[in-house]
Amino acid sequence: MAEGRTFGQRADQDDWPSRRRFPTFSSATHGGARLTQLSPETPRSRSVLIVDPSDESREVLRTVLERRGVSILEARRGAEGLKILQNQHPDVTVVDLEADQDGSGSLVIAYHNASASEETSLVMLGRVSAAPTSRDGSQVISKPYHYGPLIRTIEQLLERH
Amino acid sequence: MASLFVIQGRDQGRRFDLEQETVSIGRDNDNVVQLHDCEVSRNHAEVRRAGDGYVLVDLKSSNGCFVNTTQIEEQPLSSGDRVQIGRTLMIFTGGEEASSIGFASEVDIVGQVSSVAGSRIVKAISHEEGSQLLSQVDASESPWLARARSNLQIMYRTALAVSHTLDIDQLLHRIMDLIFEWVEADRGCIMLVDRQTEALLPKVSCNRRQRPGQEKERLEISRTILDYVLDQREGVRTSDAKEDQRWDAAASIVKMGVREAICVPMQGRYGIVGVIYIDTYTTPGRIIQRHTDKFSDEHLKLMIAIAHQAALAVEDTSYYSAMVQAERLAAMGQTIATLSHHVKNILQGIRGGSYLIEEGLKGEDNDIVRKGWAIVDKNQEKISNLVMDMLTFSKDRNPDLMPSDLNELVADVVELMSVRAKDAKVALELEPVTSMPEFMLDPELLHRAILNVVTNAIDACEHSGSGKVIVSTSLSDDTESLQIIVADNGGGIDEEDVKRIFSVFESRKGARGTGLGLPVSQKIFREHGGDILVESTLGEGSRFILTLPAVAPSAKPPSDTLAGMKFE
Repeated sequence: MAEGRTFGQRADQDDWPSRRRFPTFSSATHGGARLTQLSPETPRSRSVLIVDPSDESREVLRTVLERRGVSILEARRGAEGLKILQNQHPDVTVVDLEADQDGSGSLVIAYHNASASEETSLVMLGRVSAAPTSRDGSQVISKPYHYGPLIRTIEQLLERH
Repeated sequence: MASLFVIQGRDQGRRFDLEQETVSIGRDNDNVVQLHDCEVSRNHAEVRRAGDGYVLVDLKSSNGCFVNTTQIEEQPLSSGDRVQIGRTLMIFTGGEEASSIGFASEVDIVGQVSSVAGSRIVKAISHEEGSQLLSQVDASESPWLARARSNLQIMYRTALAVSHTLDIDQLLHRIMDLIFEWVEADRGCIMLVDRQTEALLPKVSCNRRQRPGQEKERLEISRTILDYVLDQREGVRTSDAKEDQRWDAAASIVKMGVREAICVPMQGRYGIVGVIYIDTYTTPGRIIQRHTDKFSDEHLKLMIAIAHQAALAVEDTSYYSAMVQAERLAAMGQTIATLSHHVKNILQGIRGGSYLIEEGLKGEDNDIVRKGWAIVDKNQEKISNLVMDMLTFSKDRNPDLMPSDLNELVADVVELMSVRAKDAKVALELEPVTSMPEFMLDPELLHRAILNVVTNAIDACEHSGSGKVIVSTSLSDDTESLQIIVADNGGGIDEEDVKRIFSVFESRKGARGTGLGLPVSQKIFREHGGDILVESTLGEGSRFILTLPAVAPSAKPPSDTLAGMKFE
């Protein structure tokens, strides 16, 4: 984790503003999750939840997206990320399917359902064999992926919100 | 559980468990048993559970279903049945079959006190003596009984000859030897049916009259006879004296001699696997002495019986070879898939690092460049370790022993891992024994082995908040063995998992683990004559005890392995 950040607020606490309000805190964590927020006077920034067991992948996405003014939420595991998604309502959720610990594919379904109800765009990284077809707006990017196209995809999805 | 195991075809090596009441077989991907075979229909067949068994049902497929080479529409399956669908050949294995044979729980081995234990031995026969029973011919015995005994002896020896080999060539040589020992054949040949072309291919031939240095005589076998044997599935005895018009005149026979032959099918469980041919030539001089008809119907019958035994053995050997090959392919596929997955993850890391470097250079931000470079560097290290682990695991090698300081070696590992431990917020401590003389070790190999164990220990307590790994060294009181103990206070390992952690490609670290580290470490320690023991308690942590024989520089290893060496 990068130094110079403050951690303290649990992301599952109810005092986090709803996704349509302006954030007021400096950062938050939830287990392995972290949120970088904007100061009170800054207009609300877009937020991206990254669910990925790889520290490196999260670091790359965090570094690049933060430079573009995006707030980042992070989780290492699928279940952990799902809670953050439901509590923090990120604009875009990026899920590496290896975060699915039991490998049953239930993660795909759970994220599809949650992203639909929480109005978050979903980007899945990896191979999906049984993705639900009734949802739209979700994207699947095979691994190994290039970061340039992935970042552009995330930016396009952020623009829709 | 009942299953279909593919032993031939594009899906060779795949096993399909028959878990459902109805298991669909076909080319479409919605089939439970999807076969990548263009001769298989989209929805070709079904295996349905029927009571305790299973039934194969053809769904009016274009090319049909075959069970043990017979086309079927609906057929109950028995364990060991060969199911041919298109070009795909599968073996059906039934689950637990109902049997009238009960478990051995009703059998008691009792002592002398029991009433039934009062039996006494009336007669004892050794294995060797038992084997000879069939060959003992009593002079007063009838010719029929003597012949029956002789035949039984031949079949007994045939059964022995074919019962303990997994090499088809070796098996066929044994059969040929046996036939030539028993019958006065001059020449012989065993031909097997090629599975792909269905043509007969000569595998073994023998010529009793062949002298060393003499030009080899070609063995010509009538295609008509072979076709007859294959088509009619019957053995034949032939004699050119009787069948060829040229030999009608007795004078000609005397002049040219007579060739007799026996040709029999090798009839297996599922079809003909080949033929055995033998022939003999009677010279004109022997004919004059009335020595004709060397081959009798008795010979033909026994040849058929021998060929049947040989065919069963050929089928078993082929089946076993196919199974081994299929298992090998499956293992290779799994290995390639696992390694590809690791390489893919490493490639992903390198791409991420490179992207950050590019971003940093564009924005002239050195911090981001450095961050990107650190990721690239870390992944270079990962691929290097993966390749070294693969190399170490893939070949046996004797350690390159040299006088080495174990404390120094372990200290190098701890120093190397200190950055990683710091990143993982894990306290890494070294507790070396105060006095450690030099011992004969392979420092390069052991460095890799210890590094793997320490890396695992750090990973085990990463993110725990108060992770601690202690690496200590010790010399046993009798100075016979060295120990390196790697103890962590991570989550511990489940008892069931402890049994598996040294199995290749078994990793509890998800995408981060290659499943090679601990097997490689164990291999290296065992190559040194040592081993790795694990003590673990869930929720408390684990201790990996790495032991090595303490071999002083003056002592020379007596053999390839150092196991059992004493410190002097």
